[in-house]
Amino acid sequence: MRTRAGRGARRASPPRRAFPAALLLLLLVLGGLGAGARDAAGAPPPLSHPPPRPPSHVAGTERGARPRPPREGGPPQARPPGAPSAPAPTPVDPAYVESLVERARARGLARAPMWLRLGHWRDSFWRSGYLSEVDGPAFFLSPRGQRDPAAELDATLRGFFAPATRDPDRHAVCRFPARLQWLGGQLGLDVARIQVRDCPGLRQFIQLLRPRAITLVFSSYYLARAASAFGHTFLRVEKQDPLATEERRELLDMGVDYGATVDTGNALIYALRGMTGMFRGYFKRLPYYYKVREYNDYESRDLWEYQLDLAPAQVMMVVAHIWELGHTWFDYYYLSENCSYHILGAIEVADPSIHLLDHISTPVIPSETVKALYRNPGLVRRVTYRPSLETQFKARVRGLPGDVLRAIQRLAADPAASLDALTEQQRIAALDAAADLIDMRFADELVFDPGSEARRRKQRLLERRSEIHVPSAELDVAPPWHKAPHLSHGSRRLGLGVGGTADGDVYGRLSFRMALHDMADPPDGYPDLVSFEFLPATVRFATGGDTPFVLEELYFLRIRHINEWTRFNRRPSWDLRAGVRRLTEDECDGCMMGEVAGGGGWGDAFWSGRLAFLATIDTVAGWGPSLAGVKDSGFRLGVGPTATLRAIVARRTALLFAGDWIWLPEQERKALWSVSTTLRTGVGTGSAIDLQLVARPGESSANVSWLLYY
Amino acid sequence: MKMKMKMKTTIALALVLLLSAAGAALAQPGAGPTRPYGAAGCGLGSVVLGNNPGFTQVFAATTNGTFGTQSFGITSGTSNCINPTPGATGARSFSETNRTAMSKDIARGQGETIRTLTALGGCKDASAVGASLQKSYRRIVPNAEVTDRAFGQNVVGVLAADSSLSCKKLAPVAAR
Repeated sequence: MRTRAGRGARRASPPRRAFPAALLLLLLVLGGLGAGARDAAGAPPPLSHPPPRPPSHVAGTERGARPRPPREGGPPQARPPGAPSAPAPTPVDPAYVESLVERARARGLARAPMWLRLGHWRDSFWRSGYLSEVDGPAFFLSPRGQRDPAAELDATLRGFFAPATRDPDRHAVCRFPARLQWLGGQLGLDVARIQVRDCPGLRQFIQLLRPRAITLVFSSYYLARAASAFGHTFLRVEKQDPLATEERRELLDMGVDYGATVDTGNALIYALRGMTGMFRGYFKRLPYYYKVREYNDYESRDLWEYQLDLAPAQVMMVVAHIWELGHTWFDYYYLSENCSYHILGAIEVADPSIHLLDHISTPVIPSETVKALYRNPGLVRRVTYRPSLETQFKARVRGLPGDVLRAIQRLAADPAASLDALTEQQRIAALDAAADLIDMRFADELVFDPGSEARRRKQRLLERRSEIHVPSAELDVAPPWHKAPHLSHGSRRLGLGVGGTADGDVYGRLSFRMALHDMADPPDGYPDLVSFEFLPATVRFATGGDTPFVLEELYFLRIRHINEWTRFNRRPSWDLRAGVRRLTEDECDGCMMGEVAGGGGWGDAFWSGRLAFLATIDTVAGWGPSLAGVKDSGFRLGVGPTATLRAIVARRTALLFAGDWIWLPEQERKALWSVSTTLRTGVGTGSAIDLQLVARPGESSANVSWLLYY
Repeated sequence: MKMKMKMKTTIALALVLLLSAAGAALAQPGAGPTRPYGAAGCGLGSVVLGNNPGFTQVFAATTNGTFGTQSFGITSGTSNCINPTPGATGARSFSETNRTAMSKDIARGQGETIRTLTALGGCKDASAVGASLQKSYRRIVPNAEVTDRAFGQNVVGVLAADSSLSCKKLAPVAAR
């Protein structure tokens, strides 16, 4: 698939100051440490082709179980005879180390922003002083390291010049290459005094990654799973192509992910422990193709890739820091210290001038972390888009004539269905689309169940396809640029407005929503047919009433999810809400009722989402202390239809009609209903004007609000 | 009357239960029967999890107790899978993981996985590789039950056996 397209501007060259220090790291890692180390600063070795070295004898004998990288990439070469071999290190000199410690103290390096980033120290919330977010004790060389950046700095300098360890990978120099790189740049460390000559594990890691660039990848919103509803971000470490071909093989890049190690399938325990930091979060690496297959194909999520404009030394700094983080853990907090947060923290070590974590706030929403990149002008070099399987399928069937579409449908049910009426090109199109359709519908079975009917169908389709010895045409999917996550409106929303009821009451209106998007909000950067609201609340205030403030509604979650009803997709649409709201009907005017409601039904969209429709049958279960419900208890139970119609009338203007009717069996009131109309139009970059008319038993009101997305 | 009320309460209770069950199901649709994981080769199933422990347990095993000494993320069971380097091993594990997508690309005679495979195998030309694999589809996937591992071996076998493709990096396998 050739679907990539780049966008973005280059900025002026980023700061290069760290380069000699990067050289230090490279020389150490790649085994060139020694005579020429300091005077070679002007002519760095090419990053792309680290010299292959024979496996270190130290690594092999002591830990035989350690896996080695496959070596077909090129037979190991012995160091050419006559080449200068690394000289023996200068003996350990405590006075030299202490002089470094003194210099570091005199320069106040322990308070330098870069040092604090490298140790992930933040001002402690609970007490004065610093506390590192890293929770794995092995990340600190000083026993006080987690709380004391200065002690950790001293211990790090001493560790660098400590005697060689039996296992070199345990030496501070090999464990903390990013610290080495930075401190080397700050203090001009005398590398000849470092007692280890090679870091086999780190060297393998760098050789495997051959880092060339860092890309932040955003995996789109995935409502099917609560933990991914807001999207996800991870890193792609772009590899120098070892074969130096023109076309890059990005599938072979390395993906770096930060995530919680979840050991429960229970949603409640998951939520509870996720909120309170009771999972451990780890950095993990996997080839990018695992990520593509998992997100793009298996979960059908579009991927947006933001390549960062970093100098080689800055790339190296990030990779070195990933190595440091890869061996420790953080307590994982779903809302704050989550995947996106620590991925940003890892990028931030690239350069002191880059500020990312300053631009995000709790809860940390993945799309907001993408926007934090843009707060650093020029940091994003290029944006690319990788369409999901579903997006690819839609592109495949777009414009096909009706008889081919019907053939695809038939093939998905019966892979042996006749295609005699079609031309060869049409047969290819039908078989290719049908195979994608099977992959979408039976993602689970295909991966996990070798004996499944889905696998047999796919096999038969592919057998037929392979018999036509003509390659398929490249699929060209135009990136939907207006859906790029960095264009999305702010994830939080604050609303200020006035309103009045038909009875003549006038009130002020204050609303807040923690996240994320509803169907009337400006649609750029968000899925067209989804409304996902976390903690929306509205309060009225008026001077005349008994109390100045009245809670209108407070929902924990409110979701509407339209699944387009096409000939290929017959998944139901659904809605769900849980929260508290104020009632207006005469029997219980002003009562508060907690409710859980939801249901399924039919939804569809027309004119590429500009007109969308949802109809469901909802069940409502509510309870309120003063409610006259079933059997005069406080419980309300009801069931009834709902309907929603959304029209996007201009690019940032939406018109939303909603209505519901609910039957309340065996309750004092037999039925309830409500209708509303909303007109909302985006103003400037981060706000909107909202007009709303609502009618329901006991109250009709009109509201005007100014909404701020931030 | 009392009876009727009782029935209604029961219905009410059932409704609430139904609703909360539906909510829970929506919240985690992946929760199904436990899937095999771990030593399943490099296939996507060894990594993808839904809400099941597969993915994370594979890595929990790695990360527990590592301490600055291991290339992180390497497990004994999947180390070949996560080090995609040119050569027969890399090409095979790449094919295993990408099987779902690659089997389609093979049948179609072209695609991103085939271009990447061409690079991993050091072959000359991706369209020639695509054409050769397409013709050999039934050899590579003789039936739907073929394991991911066999799939990977078959792909590499076909490439290595077709000398017109000159897949330099796969030579050792061809000789074997």
